[in-house]
Amino acid sequence: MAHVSVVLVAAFAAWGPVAPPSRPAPPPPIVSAPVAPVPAPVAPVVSDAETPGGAPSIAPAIIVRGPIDARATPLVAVAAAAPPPQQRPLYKRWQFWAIAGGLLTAAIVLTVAETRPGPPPYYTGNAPPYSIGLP
Amino acid sequence: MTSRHARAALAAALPLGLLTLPLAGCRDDPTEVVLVLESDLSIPGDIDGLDFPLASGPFAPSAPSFFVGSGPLIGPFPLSIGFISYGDTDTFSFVVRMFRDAFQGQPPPLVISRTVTDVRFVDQRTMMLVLQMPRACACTGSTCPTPDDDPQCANIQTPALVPFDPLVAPPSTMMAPNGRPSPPGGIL
Repeated sequence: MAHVSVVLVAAFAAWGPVAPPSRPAPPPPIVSAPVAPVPAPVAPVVSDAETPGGAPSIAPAIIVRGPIDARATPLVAVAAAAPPPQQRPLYKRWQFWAIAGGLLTAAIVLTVAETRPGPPPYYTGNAPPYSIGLP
Repeated sequence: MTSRHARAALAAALPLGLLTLPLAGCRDDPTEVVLVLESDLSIPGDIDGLDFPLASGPFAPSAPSFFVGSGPLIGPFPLSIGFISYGDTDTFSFVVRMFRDAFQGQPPPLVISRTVTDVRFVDQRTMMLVLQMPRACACTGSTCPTPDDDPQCANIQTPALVPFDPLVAPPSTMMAPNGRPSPPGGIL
């Protein structure tokens, strides 16, 4: 019985989780909203003045605070969905002509083979045993 | 259709066609020797049964001392029998024996016997062997003429076959379904 349990456990382990795998959450809808221009980070200005220790000193960046005009800010352009790739007509695919050619050839050969006149029948005599076959 | 398409179609069609070609060529013409027996003996006055001890190869079969025929003879001479090769036999030999009162329930007396050895099939052709069974070669009692007595009664080895001639051979009377006779048999 213990062996059966081990086998069952191994089977379940190999089978995987019984519960259906959780589906990933759908992506949040894309909302186009006015986005204020973010001021580019101002790189710290390295002054030529050296610190007493000899290393160049870093001057603090100047950040200007002010109101943001949301109407004046440009909207983020949402790229239009790309058009689906144009479907090539069936007759322009090489697979179509390959299959069609193969089927046509097979049909011709089989038709010729089946309609070919068979061999002349064996002659059987007029006296018993009429005909004798040798292997 | 572009040339690329044409090449692709040809590349697919060619192997398929080659695969099916053997089907078209698998029918062979029959390989057969038709034995035509001619005689001045009468049926059923002189004989009413015949048998064919037969063997593959160029050597004469051993003929049993009893009659092994399969049915009474009907009709006058010429009589005919077809020997059909199924592919493995190139040559065969046989003894043709004719009996009187073959179906009377007693061992019938032998009237005439001839031995033919090394009859060679011709592949996919129907050939014909005309064999004479003259009254001059008939046995008298238990005594049969020897080749020294009459050369026309001698055994025949590697006979010359001629192409089948429906004007010489009697019409075929018993055609099996599909034009094929019964399965191989009759080898002793």
